[in-house]
Amino acid sequence: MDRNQVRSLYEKHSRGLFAYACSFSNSFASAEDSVHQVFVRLLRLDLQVPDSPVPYLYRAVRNAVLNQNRNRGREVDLEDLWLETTAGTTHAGIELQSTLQELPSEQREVIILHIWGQLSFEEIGDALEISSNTAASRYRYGLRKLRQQFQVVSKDR
Amino acid sequence: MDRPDEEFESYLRQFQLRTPGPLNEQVQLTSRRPILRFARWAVAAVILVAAVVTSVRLIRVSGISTGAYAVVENSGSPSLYRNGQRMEAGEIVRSNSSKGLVLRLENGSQIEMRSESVLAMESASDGAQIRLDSGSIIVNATRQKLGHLYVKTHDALVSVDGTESMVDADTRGTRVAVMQGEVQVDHGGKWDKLRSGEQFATSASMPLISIREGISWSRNATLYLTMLPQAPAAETPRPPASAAARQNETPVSVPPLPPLPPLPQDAPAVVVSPPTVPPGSDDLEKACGSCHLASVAYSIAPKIDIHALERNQIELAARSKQLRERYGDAYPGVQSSQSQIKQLDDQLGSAKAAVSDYVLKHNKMIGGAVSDQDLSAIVESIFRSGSAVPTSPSRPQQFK
Repeated sequence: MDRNQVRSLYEKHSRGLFAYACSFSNSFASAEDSVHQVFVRLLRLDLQVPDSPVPYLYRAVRNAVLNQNRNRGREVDLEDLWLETTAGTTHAGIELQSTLQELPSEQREVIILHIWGQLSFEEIGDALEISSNTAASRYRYGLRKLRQQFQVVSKDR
Repeated sequence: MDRPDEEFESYLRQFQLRTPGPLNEQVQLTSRRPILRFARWAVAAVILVAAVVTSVRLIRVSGISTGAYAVVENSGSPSLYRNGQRMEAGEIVRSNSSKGLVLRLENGSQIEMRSESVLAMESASDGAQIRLDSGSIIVNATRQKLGHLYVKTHDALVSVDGTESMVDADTRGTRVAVMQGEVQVDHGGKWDKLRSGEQFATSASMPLISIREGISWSRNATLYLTMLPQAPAAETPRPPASAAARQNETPVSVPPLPPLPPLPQDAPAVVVSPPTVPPGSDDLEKACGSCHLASVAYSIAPKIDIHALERNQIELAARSKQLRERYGDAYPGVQSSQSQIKQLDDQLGSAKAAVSDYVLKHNKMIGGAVSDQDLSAIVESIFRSGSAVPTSPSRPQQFK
């Protein structure tokens, strides 16, 4: 895989991969670093990419994030916020990101990929090597759970 | 999905994912082993620097160590305060001087207080806030890299990052006016956006006066006037977001060039009635040519305040330079000033072109009676002074 192919992959999939990285990480910087790390390794030819690179990239990003997460706490602070907020929504953004971390990872990643990665359920299925129906189902359950938990968190504050 | 889930999904979509930086492709394509040791040290150094920077940022945002303090930049005279005096968070600042008071925050933002105003700096959960108890302030707020800068009154919270805006507060309510940028106003749990030239009051009992009038007390009033929209097209009327009063400012600070007056034979009134030119009388045409042209063209000139335009240009250029030196080229105020300078350039050019066109057109009508040199002098004189008519051998009488 040459440099142009790597660049093309980055342009096409970085948004989804970044969203996916965020689903495992409480830190914007960590998520960003993880995605970049994978692509830097591709550029260095350290990684052998199979014929269908997309699921492979998602797995590689996941591993990179988990490696970075080892020594991190779960508290979200302003610097780590990976959601863009406007004035007056910062608290809601922090609460939302914290609440997302409480979801089971398979539901959280589908929600983040669908809403902020802007991937369809079919694309999510391809990336995570699950069926699109499974992705949709995880999304539905996860969204309901997130709504309920988010309401509780918001009321408590 | 049921309705609550759909609504919640819409709510989630209001948040956006932060945009990651571009991929640094400047990496070694050869084996990385020879540089591994160096890379480890480099990474360690980067992490250390990042940790320090992050700590400083977090401290700033939370206001843990630095707090939300302000320094008196111009105390006015006489004043209870002295220039350079540090006002700590929570400390009440009263602008007792008749000339008001100017404060500077640690991030470079500037607060100009009108006389008889009262405020205190406070830490906010995601930045800093100016608690305005009463009176008027104009905030020139630098864009915040992290967190936000707010002005808090008893019934509103105004986010003023990267803007120049005015906030008035008294027992009746709060009035917010924007000279530059976009502010967000939280009033009674609702958020509303205001852009340059717009103002808003939280209560119907709080009168909305003209922004020009509202900022006339400021030391930089002339400058702020140039920031307001110059043409009606630049403003988009928007419906009020609430029952609270709101209006757009009528742009009159630099008047647009008036349309050309009708041709002399149709013109009902000119400043000076030119002598009648009998058809076919070449001598008379030549004799009254300059006066006739000047008098008609002069009817345009007084409506254009050339000096005000030029003064604004000079002030804007000075301010732009000051902002560039202080905050760098990327500061929004710099770009905005440059754009306004260009706009004034265009206005000056249009004004001169209109006068010149008019003079040339009339000279043509009288058969080119006035020489090119005299025409240039007439145009320049009208354009510069708006009143003087050049002394010319071909001008038979004094222009009044």
